[in-house]
Amino acid sequence: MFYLKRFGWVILAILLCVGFESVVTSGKNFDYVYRMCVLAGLYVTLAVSLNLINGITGQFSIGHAAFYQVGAYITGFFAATGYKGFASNSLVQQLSHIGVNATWTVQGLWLVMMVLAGAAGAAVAGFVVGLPSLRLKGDYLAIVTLGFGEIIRIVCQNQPALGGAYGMKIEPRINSMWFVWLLAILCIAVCRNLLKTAHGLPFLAVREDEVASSAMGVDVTKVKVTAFVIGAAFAGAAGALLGHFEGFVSPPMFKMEVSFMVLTMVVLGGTGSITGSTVGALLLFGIPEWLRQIEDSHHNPILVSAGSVLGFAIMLVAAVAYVRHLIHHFHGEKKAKTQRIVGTFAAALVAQFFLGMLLNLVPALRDKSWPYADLRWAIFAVTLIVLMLLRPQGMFAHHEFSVARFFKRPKEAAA
Amino acid sequence: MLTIEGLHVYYGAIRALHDVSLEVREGEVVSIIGSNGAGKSTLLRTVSGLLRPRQGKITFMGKEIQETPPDQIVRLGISQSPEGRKIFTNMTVFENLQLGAYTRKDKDVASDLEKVMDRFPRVRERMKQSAGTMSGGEQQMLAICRALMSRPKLLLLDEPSMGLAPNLVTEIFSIVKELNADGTTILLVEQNAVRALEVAHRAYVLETGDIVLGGTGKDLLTDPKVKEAYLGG
Ligand SMILES: Nc1ncnc2c1ncn2[C@@H]1O[C@H](COP(=O)(O)OP(=O)(O)OP(=O)(O)O)[C@@H](O)[C@H]1O
Ligand SMILES: [Mg+2]
Repeated sequence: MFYLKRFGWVILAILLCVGFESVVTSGKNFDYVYRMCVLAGLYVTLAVSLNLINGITGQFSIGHAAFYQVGAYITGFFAATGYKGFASNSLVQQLSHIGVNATWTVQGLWLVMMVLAGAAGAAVAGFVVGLPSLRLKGDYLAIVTLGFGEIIRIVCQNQPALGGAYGMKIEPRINSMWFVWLLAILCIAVCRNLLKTAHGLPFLAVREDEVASSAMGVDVTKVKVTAFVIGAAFAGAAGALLGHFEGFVSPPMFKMEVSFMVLTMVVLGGTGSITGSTVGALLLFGIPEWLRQIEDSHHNPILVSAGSVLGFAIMLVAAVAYVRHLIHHFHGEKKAKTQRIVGTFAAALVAQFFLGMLLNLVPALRDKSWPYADLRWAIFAVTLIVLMLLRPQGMFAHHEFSVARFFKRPKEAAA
Repeated sequence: MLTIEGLHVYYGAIRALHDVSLEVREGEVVSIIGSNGAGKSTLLRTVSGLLRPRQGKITFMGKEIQETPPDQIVRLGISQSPEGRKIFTNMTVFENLQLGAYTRKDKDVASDLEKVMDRFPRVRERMKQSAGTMSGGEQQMLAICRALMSRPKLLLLDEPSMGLAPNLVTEIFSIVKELNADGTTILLVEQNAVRALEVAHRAYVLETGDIVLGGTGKDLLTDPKVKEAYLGG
């Protein structure tokens, strides 16, 4: 019965993903939308998997792009060396007649293998990076993970065997949006099960107090490394899918900005909340893309202004959350009165700055030369400052989305 | 049950315990008293594996455990209510108790929970409450409950009466007695020397890392040196 139920969920997830893909591909000129949906799915996977390390287990890891890159480069390497042999393998040839379309079956099998290989490779990297987390805390661990990310990128950039600065071509390109989203759902499901069941308790315990956890019999070492391994494996799987989707991998795809973006998604959503990471990923991926699109085709000034106002508002909230998060991180929970006053002033200044900018922006909307896309990063940074001031715990704090909550009456004193 | 021989513990270059030897027999309550910084908490942390001794031997039920990691020590049957409680403040009371039983795979966890709750009705009332919002005394009780959930053979209590109102202190010590009467061996560290000696079968006095005195609780209560130094003359 239990397995039957679980099997049902898997089927449902697959149907949903396939359905989603067919809706997207039924539109006219769906290329752009399709691409956005694939990337959004990958970012959801990245954010939710980083949340496992960062939010749920409390390890301040900020080099998530490294695991993404390991997964992608592993596929790149195998695609260059092994795909032809794989496709002409007699067993694969036989299997290929089972499916509807022989090419699809071969490519599907290959993609599954590559996702597993990417996940495995990244898991090993996660294990290696997870080890220092046993000795380092907070900002020190952050520096190590950041450094690891850069090392991986620079090593790839300088390895002729891995294509150097140019990167590697990946043949064949395999577009599979539904598979990307299936991975995202799997990642969410794994993390949710960890959080909701007794298996997850030790992870949360380690986040709160390592000494107390080990006094309870929790193997803190194992928990921390496990979080790194699982988190990295999902990022690696996402990397493998990215590689086959793009048809190439190259070092700039895994710049530090990617790590920061994913970290910001987690912080914006509320560290520890899976719902938060998912929504954070969709928003922070979606809004900059939207700004970019506006730049490409600003025909409708009203739409554009509405878009930027909304974008600004959301970014503002994100910014506050970010700074507050950092303040908490570096100065502990309690803030001095002066700090609070300074914070309020800073928030007021930032708000004014934004207001001014917004007013300047509206007439500029008709000016083709306004660089929305370039503004993205500036907006990004400032937004985070603001969100952290207003809501340091992120949009969802530790909470998860639940249907039941809508039907519950608010209690007088929340327990 | 627990034998400590020639234990030396250092924090870097700082010596915290010097050649400490002591024994806890099955069924006893053993108290360790000593002033601030004497090394009492250090001793408990070393027994529960959170610190590694530089030298010496700790034997628990015939097994040397000075090199055993803390999570394994819990599995052997030693559990600790640490100094400053160290409860998980962002979790509910129930989750704290679940973590207390983390090492157990048997089916009696639920019935043990009931037993523990019968002894601490104040904790039962607050099962769903976030542990950090409980009062100091309630948190202390929770810390003890949590330690009991692993069904320890030897329970280590580090200053269970710290920061509690006098009537709660009395309650805590009577619970210590009850637990012991039900068969749990207890090693207790306390600032409150009178109470600690009253409840103990045997006790030791720790002074800047050295055991300077040992004996039955009654003997130490009447010992002139102890009286002067710890019982207020
Ligand atoms: N992590 C640490 N690093 C360095 N020194 C430490 C550390 N923990 C304890 N010490 C030192 O070791 C000595 C013994 O400390 P311990 O905590 O065991 O004392 P205690 O007897 O429990 O005192 P109290 O009654 O105040 O709790 C003290 O001098 C203390 O400063
Ligand atoms: Mg102490």
